Amino acid sequence: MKSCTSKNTIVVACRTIAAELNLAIRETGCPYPVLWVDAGLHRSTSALHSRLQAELDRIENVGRVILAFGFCGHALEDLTAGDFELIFPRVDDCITLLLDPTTQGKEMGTFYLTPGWLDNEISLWNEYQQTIKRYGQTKADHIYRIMLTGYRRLGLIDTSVYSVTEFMLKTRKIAAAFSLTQQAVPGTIRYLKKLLTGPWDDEFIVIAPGESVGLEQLLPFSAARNL
Amino acid sequence: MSEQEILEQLAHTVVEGEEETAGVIAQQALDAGIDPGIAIVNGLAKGMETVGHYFESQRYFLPEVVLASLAFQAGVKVLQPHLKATAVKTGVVVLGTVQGDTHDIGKNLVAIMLGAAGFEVHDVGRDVPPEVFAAKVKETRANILGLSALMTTSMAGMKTVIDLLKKEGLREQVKIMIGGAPVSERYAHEIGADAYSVDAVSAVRLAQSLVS
Repeated sequence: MKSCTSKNTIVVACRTIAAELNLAIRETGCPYPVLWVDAGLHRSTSALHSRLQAELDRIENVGRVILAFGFCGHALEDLTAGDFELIFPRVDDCITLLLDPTTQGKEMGTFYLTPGWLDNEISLWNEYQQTIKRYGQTKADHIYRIMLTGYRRLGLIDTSVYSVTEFMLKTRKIAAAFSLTQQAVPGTIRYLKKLLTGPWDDEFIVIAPGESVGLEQLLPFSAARNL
Repeated sequence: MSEQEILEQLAHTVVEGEEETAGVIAQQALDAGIDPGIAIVNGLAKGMETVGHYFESQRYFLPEVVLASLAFQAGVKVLQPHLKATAVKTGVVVLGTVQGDTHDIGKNLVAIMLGAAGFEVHDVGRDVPPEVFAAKVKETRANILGLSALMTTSMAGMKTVIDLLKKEGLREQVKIMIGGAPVSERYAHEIGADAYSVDAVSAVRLAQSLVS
């Protein structure tokens, strides 16, 4: 892995992965400033898109902007880089970023969690509590049974920034409420570290200054065809 | 209550997600002699349209949408048996969530609403392999195929289905519409689908326009 050389870089990142990204920054010694974007924007890809573009539009006098985001629906589609190179990982969302696609993929039927997701104000659990308050326990359970159809496990991603044992305890009530089994899943910050240091090879998408992110760059099958 | 008031009540029960009340008001609509088709389109579906707007503007979130769809379904259950059999079927739809994806709330809602609008709906479920879509299109002689995907990883599977239909010579008989959070109009165009729908209410209008 290359060492961190450019001082002329800024990171725009999702707050959900703050703990993991901060660790990656410490371990790589890349002291780039980070603009955090609230995870709540994930609810709407268009809101997230507008916010990311607004952040990019505020940035001047840097050579490179690193987006610590997955594609998140089509939130990155049409983003335009200013007078800087724009780099982001070739992953559908930040779960994949933490799971490391070179070793394993996402498993269907698993609802992935890290403390970063859970601490988010609009997390699965908080939203469930709100629903109970609003509609009562019976109706809330009915709604969540429908919402979580197809999910059988809670996957607790071990990204090494927190104690999985404690997280198991903390999420026990969630698993019980939704009849899901708990499973620790090996995670990594390898991808995040490489995002900071490069080399920005096939695992990343690099947009030249002034260029926009094209839909074809985000499509898995186009990506495969062009590689 | 006047006909207009009953229709507004129907819409209101959907917006508020009142499953039990929706059935009661639907029965009132029938008792008042309101055409069940009108009760669905100008009552229940109007409510669903409002829910769609609320969801888009983030006033509503998924739990409210689920509740609304349950209320919609409860109303339709009362009204549907009384729908006059139309001489001409609106269309035959095969609908499902593509392989690798188990999200089906939106797809189920589209299925209910298309059924209420007079389409013959064959819901093939979730995590559906391309071969199953193709076989069902062939078997039912469907003129519309609806594909849903909620993940950036699974949306590529839509193109696999379309490619298989082409290979099997079925592509020409069927209009393909797609939907789901990560897809877009441009994506539909890119993969060779006919149309994209942003939500369940628009999906019904879109399906109607595709077969007209």
